[in-house]
Amino acid sequence: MKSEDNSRPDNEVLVRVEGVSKKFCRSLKKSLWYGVCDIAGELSPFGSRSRLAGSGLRVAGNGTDGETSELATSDSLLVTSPSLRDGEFWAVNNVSFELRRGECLGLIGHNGAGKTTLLKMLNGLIKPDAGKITMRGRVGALIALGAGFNPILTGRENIYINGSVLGLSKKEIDKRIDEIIEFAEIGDFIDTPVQNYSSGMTVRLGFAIASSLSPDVLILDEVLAVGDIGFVIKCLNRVRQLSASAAVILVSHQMQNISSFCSRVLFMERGQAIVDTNEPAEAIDRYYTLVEAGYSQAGTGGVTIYACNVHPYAESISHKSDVELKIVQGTPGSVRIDFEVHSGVSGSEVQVNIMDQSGSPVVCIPVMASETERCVFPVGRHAVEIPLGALELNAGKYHLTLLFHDPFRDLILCRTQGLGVFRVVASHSHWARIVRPALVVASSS
Amino acid sequence: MFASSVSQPASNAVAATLRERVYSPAPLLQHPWKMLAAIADDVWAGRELAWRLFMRDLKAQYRQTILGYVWAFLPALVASATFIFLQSQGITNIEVKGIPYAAFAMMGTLLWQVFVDAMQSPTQAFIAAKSMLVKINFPREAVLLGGLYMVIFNFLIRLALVIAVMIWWQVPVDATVLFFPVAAAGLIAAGTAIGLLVVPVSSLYGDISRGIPIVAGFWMLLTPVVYPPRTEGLAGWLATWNPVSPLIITARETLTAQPLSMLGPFFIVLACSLLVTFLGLVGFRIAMPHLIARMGG
Repeated sequence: MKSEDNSRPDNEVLVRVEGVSKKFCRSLKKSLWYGVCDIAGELSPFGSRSRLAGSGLRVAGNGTDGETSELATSDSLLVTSPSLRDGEFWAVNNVSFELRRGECLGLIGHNGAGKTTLLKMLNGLIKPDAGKITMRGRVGALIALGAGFNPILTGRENIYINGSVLGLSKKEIDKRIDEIIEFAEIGDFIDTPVQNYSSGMTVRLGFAIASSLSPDVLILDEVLAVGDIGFVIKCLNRVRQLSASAAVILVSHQMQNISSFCSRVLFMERGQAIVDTNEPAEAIDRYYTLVEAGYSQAGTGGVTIYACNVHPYAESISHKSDVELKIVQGTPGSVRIDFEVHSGVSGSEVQVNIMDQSGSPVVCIPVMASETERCVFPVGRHAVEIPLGALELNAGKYHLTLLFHDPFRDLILCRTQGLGVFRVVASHSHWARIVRPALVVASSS
Repeated sequence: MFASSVSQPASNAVAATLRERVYSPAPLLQHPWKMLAAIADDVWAGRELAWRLFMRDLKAQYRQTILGYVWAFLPALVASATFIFLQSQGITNIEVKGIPYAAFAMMGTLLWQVFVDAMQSPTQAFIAAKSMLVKINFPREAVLLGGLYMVIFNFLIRLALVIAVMIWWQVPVDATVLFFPVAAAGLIAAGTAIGLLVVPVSSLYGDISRGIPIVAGFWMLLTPVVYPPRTEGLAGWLATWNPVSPLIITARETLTAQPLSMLGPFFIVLACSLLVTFLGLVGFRIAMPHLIARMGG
């Protein structure tokens, strides 16, 4: 690890996280009591130190010279007892990584995976229960969707407060304040109390401050989820600029952002970093694997589905350990459906919808008898194969929704979603749902 | 898992210009000098922020009130009015040397309120700043300092009323009045010391901040606020051993041209208060990350 401490300042390690864990408690009452215990334990001159002495590694802790205290620091890591008390769980569990200047780390994971807790520790708001975090340089942070503005103060006053928090003098802030106001696009509202801002304005101002104060480390938690597309693009451009000279940590649920801006991705699940890779696509892949398509069924019950299987025409990429179907972007596929139209129903039309992982329909495939007429299936059992066409879908996880409709009585007989789950794989995640690479047809130079 | 962390020293030399911060579960008390230096740094770094917080609170404090700054001394006036009434009707018979009882009681309650104010300030300031504390990392001591500014400001308002009382009843003054600022500082220091001690618990459990006014109300009666110090019985014992007694007595004596009868105990209490305030700051710093973790975001 020592040899990695490069002397070139442009890629020095700015963030070092070593085996960091943090425990939380589900019950509020217990949590408060544990808080009192923790504080008492840390204040007590005996509690922690006797454990140190017991480990036989105690170093004279009060030494004022550098060497002694360094030893004591490393020693102190032995003090922690990483055991859980009743009702506690690991919100962050043994996470380690290093981040250098010039890197942009994407932190992904589902809600409650421990991302924000990790960021709070990086920003020094809360202490880890085990491990060690070393942060170097000025840290700009936007945690939990808000810069921690004081609602009664005006935007301008908050800029000065946040600036002085980040270690800038009033003069330095004076120099940058116009740039910040301009970037945040809040105009006259700058002299209005922040409590009157819309959520978008708050985030814009927060981002403008955190990114304008030339941070060495920039921590952005879900910033891009709020705000219109224009501002998101502005943010991303700024992140790109900054990431050349700073270490950026970006939390986002939008894989497009992660895919296009991060040089590294850390995928967290249940407090643990289960994927740490320089290939964002790999982590995004894992992320989608863990997203479950919600299966649900509705309708009159006039139709029963026995099977619904998606088949690729091309050779599918199979993965040893998982049974999930993967289809290469742009290759065709089809779906085989086995269903029965029950007696008492006059007949049923069929429609297949391809849905993305957020549940919104991407492609609608009505099953036709001719160019203009829908195919109506009579009572009885049917096994049909329906081509899905070329799956020019953005990389990600998809599922099918089958819709059976009685055209004579205008009834939904059956609507079932979450069937035929498959994943489209590609090297890149793009910004639209349909991806259709094109060749240049004609060009003049 | 922990053994790998020894590599830290190597990185120090590389970028001397970058400030390095280490967060680990190690108790801060392991490096007392480092911690004290950090506290001193943060108090210094937070002074501008503290001033801004104070100015904001000042503007907001009495914004949604009709009486405005009257609230700074109204509770004290009402408290003293009770005793002035009891005294005037002969229900109580408190003998006061040198000045009218009304002036005596008002000065007492106003000074007492300075103490209570200082005692409540750290918890109030902390809870008011909660939304900031859980989201940004800034010198936390600024919150306390801002609260202290507010205590001093409210003290000055009350002082104006005390002066009015003194002029109205023509309370005699001599050179001991010059000692009054020290006496007032003693009251504020004692209140701050107690307030800081309870902050780690009171910010977690609302019981404390609810309990303080009740305790303070009873405590006032155990302190020679509306009556002169006794020399006998339980009240006499309390006048000696109740830490606030020497402060109140001394402060009032400086304003009423009385000989300073409790100067010795006063300085002992003042020294203890400053010591406890200092320890309270240390405790505050240690408790802070735990409090923030429990308060959530």
